[in-house]
Amino acid sequence: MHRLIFILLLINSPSVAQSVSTRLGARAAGMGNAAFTLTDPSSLFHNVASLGFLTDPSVFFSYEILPALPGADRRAAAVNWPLSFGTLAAGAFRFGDDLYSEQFLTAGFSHRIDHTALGIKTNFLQYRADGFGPQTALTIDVAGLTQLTPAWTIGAGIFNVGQAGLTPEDPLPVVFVAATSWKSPEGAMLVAEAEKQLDMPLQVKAGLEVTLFKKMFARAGIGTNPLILSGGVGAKTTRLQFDFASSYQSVLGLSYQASATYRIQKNKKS
Amino acid sequence: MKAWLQLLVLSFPCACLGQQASDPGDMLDRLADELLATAEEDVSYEELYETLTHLLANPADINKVSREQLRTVMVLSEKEINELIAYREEFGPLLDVLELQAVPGWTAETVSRVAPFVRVIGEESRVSGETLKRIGRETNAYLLARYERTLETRRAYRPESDSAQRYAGSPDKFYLRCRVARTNEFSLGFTAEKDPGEIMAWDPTQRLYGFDFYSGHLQLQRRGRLENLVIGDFQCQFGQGLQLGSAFGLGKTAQTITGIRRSNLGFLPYMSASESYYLRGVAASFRVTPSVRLHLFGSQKRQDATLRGDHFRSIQSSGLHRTASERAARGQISDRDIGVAIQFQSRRLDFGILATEKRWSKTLSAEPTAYNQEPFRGASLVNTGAYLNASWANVTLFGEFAQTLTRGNGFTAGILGNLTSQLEAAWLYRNFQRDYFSSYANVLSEGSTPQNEQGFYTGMRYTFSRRLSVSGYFDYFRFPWLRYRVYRPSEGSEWLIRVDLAPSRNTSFYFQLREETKARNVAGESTLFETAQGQKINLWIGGEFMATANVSLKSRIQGSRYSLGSTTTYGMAMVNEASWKQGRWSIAFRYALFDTDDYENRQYVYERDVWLATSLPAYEGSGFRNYLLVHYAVSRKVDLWLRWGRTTYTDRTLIGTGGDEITGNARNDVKFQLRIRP
Repeated sequence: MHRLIFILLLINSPSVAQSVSTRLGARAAGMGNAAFTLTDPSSLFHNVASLGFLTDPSVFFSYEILPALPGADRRAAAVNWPLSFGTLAAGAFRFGDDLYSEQFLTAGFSHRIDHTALGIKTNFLQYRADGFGPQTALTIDVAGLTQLTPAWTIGAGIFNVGQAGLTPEDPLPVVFVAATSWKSPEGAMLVAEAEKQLDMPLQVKAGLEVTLFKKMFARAGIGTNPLILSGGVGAKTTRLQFDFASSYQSVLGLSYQASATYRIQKNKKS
Repeated sequence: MKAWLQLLVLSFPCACLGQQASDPGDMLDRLADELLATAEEDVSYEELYETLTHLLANPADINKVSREQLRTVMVLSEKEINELIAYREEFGPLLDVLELQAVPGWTAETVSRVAPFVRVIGEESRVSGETLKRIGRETNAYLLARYERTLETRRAYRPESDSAQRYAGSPDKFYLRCRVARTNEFSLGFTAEKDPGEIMAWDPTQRLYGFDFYSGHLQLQRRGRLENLVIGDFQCQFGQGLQLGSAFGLGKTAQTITGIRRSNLGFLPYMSASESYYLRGVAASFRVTPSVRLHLFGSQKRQDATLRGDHFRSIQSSGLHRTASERAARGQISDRDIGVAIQFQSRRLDFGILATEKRWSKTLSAEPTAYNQEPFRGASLVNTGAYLNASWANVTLFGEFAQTLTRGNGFTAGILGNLTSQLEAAWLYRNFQRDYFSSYANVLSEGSTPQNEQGFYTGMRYTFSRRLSVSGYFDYFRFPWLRYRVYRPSEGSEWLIRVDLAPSRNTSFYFQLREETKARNVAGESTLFETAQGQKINLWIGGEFMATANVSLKSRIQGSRYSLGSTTTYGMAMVNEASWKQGRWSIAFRYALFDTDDYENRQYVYERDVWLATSLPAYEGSGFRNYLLVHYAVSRKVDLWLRWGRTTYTDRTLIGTGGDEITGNARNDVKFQLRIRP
C-alpha cells in the first residue's frame, strides 16, 4: 500500500486529483498506447468516436500486471453493439487492490456520418482507499474521428470536458488528445498521437503494426514523458482475437498485458 | 458558342459550386485563419477584416471589377486574373457568376474561391437617379449595435486601487455603426464607440460629445470626371504603401504569393473604430484624361499625446481614455496632412508620383534611447516618392520609392506571377534607411515600421491539384543599425512551409511550420550589452470537417519553441471547435487548452466572433479557453448575436496587470449584438 501511494505520487502531479491511465487494451499497449485512431473492440477505452466504425457486436477483456508492483493491476471489459443509429458500448474498469482502488462504469455512444464519427461517453468513477469512504465523480468524454482517405485517419478528443472532480476544488485532469494514423493496403499501420493535460508535459506517442500471414500481428511503440518502449503480438481467427503486449515505462518498469476479443457476428472485418 | 457554354454551365449549377467554400462566413473564417496564422504582433487586422467582410456583403460587379480590386481579395493568382480579364474583353459581360466556370484556365475550385466576392449586376438593377434618392432606396444597408462587458470586476473599480489606476467610466463597451453602400457607386457610414472605462458625457470644452469616438464618411464614386470623393474619415492606399498604406497587407502570411503585393486602390472610406492611422477631411480623385488621374487630399484630426511644454514625445495610438493621464492626453495634438498624387495608367502600366506633408501643432521630440540616439524631431514631415506597377503575361512587377525630405529614403520592389500554371513565385527586395519616416506606411517589412532594414523575400506556391498545394517563403533580413532590445547591427531569417490538403469536398487539412532567427540582447556577465541569435520554431496542424451539411468540426494543435542563449522554452495549444447551423440558428462552441512557458511562446489563435468583430487573442500561461457564439436570425431584417468567452487559468490567481487586473483564475466576457437591415 505505501509503495503504491508512493508510486502514485511519483507519477502524478500533486496539484490536481489524479487517476491512473484508463487506456487499456494489449493491441494499443503494444503500439505505445497511441491507439486513439484505431477502430477495434477496445476503442471504448481510447476513443469513443471510433466505435462508430465498428461493424460487428463484440466483447472485449483485458488484464495488465506490473510484476514490480503487486496490487497495481488494471483490468477492463467492454461490450460493443453497432445499431442502425450508431454504436452503443458499455464497459467497466478497475485498478488496484483492497487497500486502494479506482474503478468506473462507462457507457458510450458514437454516431457515424460518412467518413466522420462523433462520440460521447460518460463515466461513473469511484475511488476507494482502505479506511476512507469511497469518493465518486461523473465525467464526460467527447471525441471525433475522420477518415480523410481510405488510408489516412485523424482524430481529436477531450477527456473530462466538464472539468468534473471529486470535489469542486479538486478537479480531475482534463486531457486533450490529437492523433493520426496511416494504413497501407498490405496491412501495415503507423499511428501517432499527442496527449496533453495541464501541469504535465506533452506526451507524444507513436506505434507500428504489421500483419504477418494475414492472421498474426507484430507491434512496437514508443512514447515520451515518461519514456515508454513497448512491443506486442497478436493472432486472430474469424471470431476470436488474442493480443499480448509488454511495455517498459521509465518510472514503473515492466508491465504485461493480455486481451481477448470475441466478435459475435459473421463479418471478419474489424 | 457563348450561349451554348452558358446553357451548359447554368444547367449544372450545384455540381461545381461547393456549398462549403461559397458560404461567405466560412470563406472569411478560412481566409482570416490563413492570413493570421503566423500573426506575431497584435497587428491591425481589424480594418482588413472589416473590408473583407464588406466585400463579402457587397460583392463587386464581375463585369466592372478592376484588376486591382481582384488582387485585393488575395484568392486569385495573377494568371487567373488575366484569364478573367481576357475572357471579359473577348466575350463581353458575363451573364451569371456561374459563367465563370467557362473562363479558360479556371477550375470549379477557382470559381468557388472567388464567387463570394463577386456577382453579376444586371443593367436594369443598377440604380439610377438622384444620389440622395438612391441612397435612400438602397437596401444594402445595416444598423449595428454592440454591447460588451467583462463580468469580473477589474482592479480599477475596486477600492484598493490608487487614484492613478482608476477608470473614470463604466466597464461597459458600446459600439454603434450604420452603413449604406453600393460598391463602386456610393457609401455612407457612421461609427460611434465607447471603450470599457471611458465616460459617456457631453462636455464640449473637453471635446466630449457623448461617445468617446466617432467616425463617419460619405463616398461618391464614378461621377463623370470625379472618380472618387470621400468626405469624412478615409484611408489611402497608393503603390506599395511605403508612403500611404491602408489596412491591406499584413506582412508575411501563409498567402505567400498574393499576400506580399499591395493593390493601388487610392482613397477608401474608413469604418473601423481604431482611433488612429486614419485621415479625416476630404479626398478626391479626378480623371484628367483617360490615362491621367489626379488625387488630392487634406486631413485635420486630433491625436493623443502627453504635452511637455511645446513638444511631445510620441503619439498615443491605443485610443483608450480611461485613467486621469489617458484623459489628459486626449486630443492634445492637432495633426494636419495634405497630399497629392498624379497617376498615369495604361492597360499594362500604372505609374504615379506622390507628395505628402504632415504637420503637428506641437513639436515631436522623441526621447533618445540607447538604440535610437537621433530620433525624429520636428513639427512637420514632407515625403515625396513614386511607384510603378507593370504587368506582362502572367507576371506583375511592383515597386515604390519614397524620400523623407532632408532625411532618409525607402525602397521596395518585387515581382510575382505564374511560372507555370501550377507554380507561382514571388520575390521582393526592400531597403529602408533608418531616417526614413512615414506615419501611414504599411509595407512588407520585418520590423514594425519601414526603417533600418534591408531584406529579400522569396515565396513559392505549387498547386499539385485541386486537393493539394504546398506553399512557402524564405526571407532574409538585415538591420544595419541598432534596434529595440538589439544593441548592435544584426541579421536574421525566417521561413515557412505550408501544405494544404483537401482529401474530399467536406474535409480540409493543413500543416504549417515556421522558423525565425533574430538577434536579441542577452544578460551577460559584463556590463556591456551582448546579443545572441534567438530561434523560434512554430508548428501548426489543423483539420476541418463538414460532418453534415449542418455540423462542422475543427481541430488544431499548435506549438512553439524559443531558444535564446542557453535557455529554451516551449508553448502549445490544442483547440477543438464544433459549429452547428439549423434554420435561423447558428451556434459555435470552442474548447481549447493552452500551456506556455513564457510570453515568447504565447499562442495566437483566431477565434470566431460576432459579425464584423474580430478576435485574435494570444493564449498565454496555462489553462482553458472556451467560447460560445450564437447567431439567431429573428427575421430577414433582424439578427441577434451572443458571444460568451471564458478563460480559466490553472497557473495564476491574478489575471492581467494594473487597472485591468482581475482577482481569481477565471475571466468571462460577454458580447451582445443586434443588426437591423432594411
